[in-house]
Amino acid sequence: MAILVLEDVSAAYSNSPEILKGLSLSLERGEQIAIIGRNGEGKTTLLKVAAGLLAPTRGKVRHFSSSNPAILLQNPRQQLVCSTVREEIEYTLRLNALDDKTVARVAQDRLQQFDLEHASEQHPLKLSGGQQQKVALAALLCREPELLLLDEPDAYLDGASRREFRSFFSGQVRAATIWIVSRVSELPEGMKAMRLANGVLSSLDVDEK
Amino acid sequence: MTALDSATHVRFDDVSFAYQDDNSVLTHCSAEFAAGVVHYVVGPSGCGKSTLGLLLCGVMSHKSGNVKLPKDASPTMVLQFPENLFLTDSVEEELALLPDAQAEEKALSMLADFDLHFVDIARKSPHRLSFGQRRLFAIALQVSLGSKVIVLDEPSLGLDEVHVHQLANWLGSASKKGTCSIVITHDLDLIAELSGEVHILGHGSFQWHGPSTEFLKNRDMLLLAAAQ
Repeated sequence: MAILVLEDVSAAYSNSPEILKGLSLSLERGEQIAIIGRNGEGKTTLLKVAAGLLAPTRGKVRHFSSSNPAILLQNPRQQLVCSTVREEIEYTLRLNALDDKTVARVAQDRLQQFDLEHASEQHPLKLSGGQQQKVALAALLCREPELLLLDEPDAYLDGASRREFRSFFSGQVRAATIWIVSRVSELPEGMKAMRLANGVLSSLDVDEK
Repeated sequence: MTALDSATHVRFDDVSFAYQDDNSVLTHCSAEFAAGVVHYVVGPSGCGKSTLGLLLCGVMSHKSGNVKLPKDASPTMVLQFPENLFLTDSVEEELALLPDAQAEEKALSMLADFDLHFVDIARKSPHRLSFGQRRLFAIALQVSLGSKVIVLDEPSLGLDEVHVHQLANWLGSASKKGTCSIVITHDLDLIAELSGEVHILGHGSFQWHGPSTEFLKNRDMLLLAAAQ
């Protein structure tokens, strides 16, 4: 059963040429795909259209999930809103209408899981880029969304944190996912991958991997 | 490589720094960054790499120790979130803010080297460029200022293979001309593309430095840098 369907979608920013040109995609519940493309090909635009943040100029975007899609923006600073790391996580948990006791317990678990405990009382924007991205990821995953839209989710992480995150993701995260990368070397292992070029998606050549 | 005297080098002598109310970031940190070489500063997230860059450029002041710069170096830095440096609503206005025509020409030629053609982006807001393009544009703007010392904080983040290759080419040729390039990164693709000197930062000071070729094939070094 599909959770997200893009039908013949085109998209453009005001007065600029179309960047997506009749793109179609159907994502099944729990299906996880990676999308690779050169800089400026419209990877982020595709994610914004899929999230409902940008209206397509043509075509249809259909969602079949009971919750809003969760999007991780490329710049983690754009989605950190609280004054401490702990509050950032707790805020997201409260959005899921959990009681205070559960919020505190789950937040503590998440902080440990993402190795953020030592930074829990710091202002998120005072952390390093890698740590900020971890906070944004931890908060996003707390929502337990059915559809995850990740724009280069571990680009700021160091190699060790990246490996930990990827192993956590493949072991624990079952949400349907679109995962954007810029390079073949960044493709998540074992994930189906497609290439975005000239405004449409195509399958990735075997020799590209 | 031509012999360059130590007056053109950047040196950290026993530098310590802490943010207010926080634990120390750098403690008795010493390093030498020779001109004419590409230096990669690597290390785990939060170890103080960006802090080091900001201290070097004088954005913040160290608490003790010395940062020695070549005479008239006026170092520049491309920030990790480069959009923080954009001041206007269009690419052409950003370019017009450069101090002279020579800088503007340099920035334009660098953009062309990165396949970013002025006619396509002149009227665009720099914030409307794609993430990777925005980074390349910020690099071109800073580099055009012609500083002898340049700090690039994660310059290859979000760049595709072709752009990483172009960036490496540019860094290589700038260092041949005597620029001291200090690249804060955890991108092994970039380090593999262009050899240089790797400096591993951790626990407040440098733990190791040596040729990038040695770094890339030494598993212990990669682990120390949290690169793998």
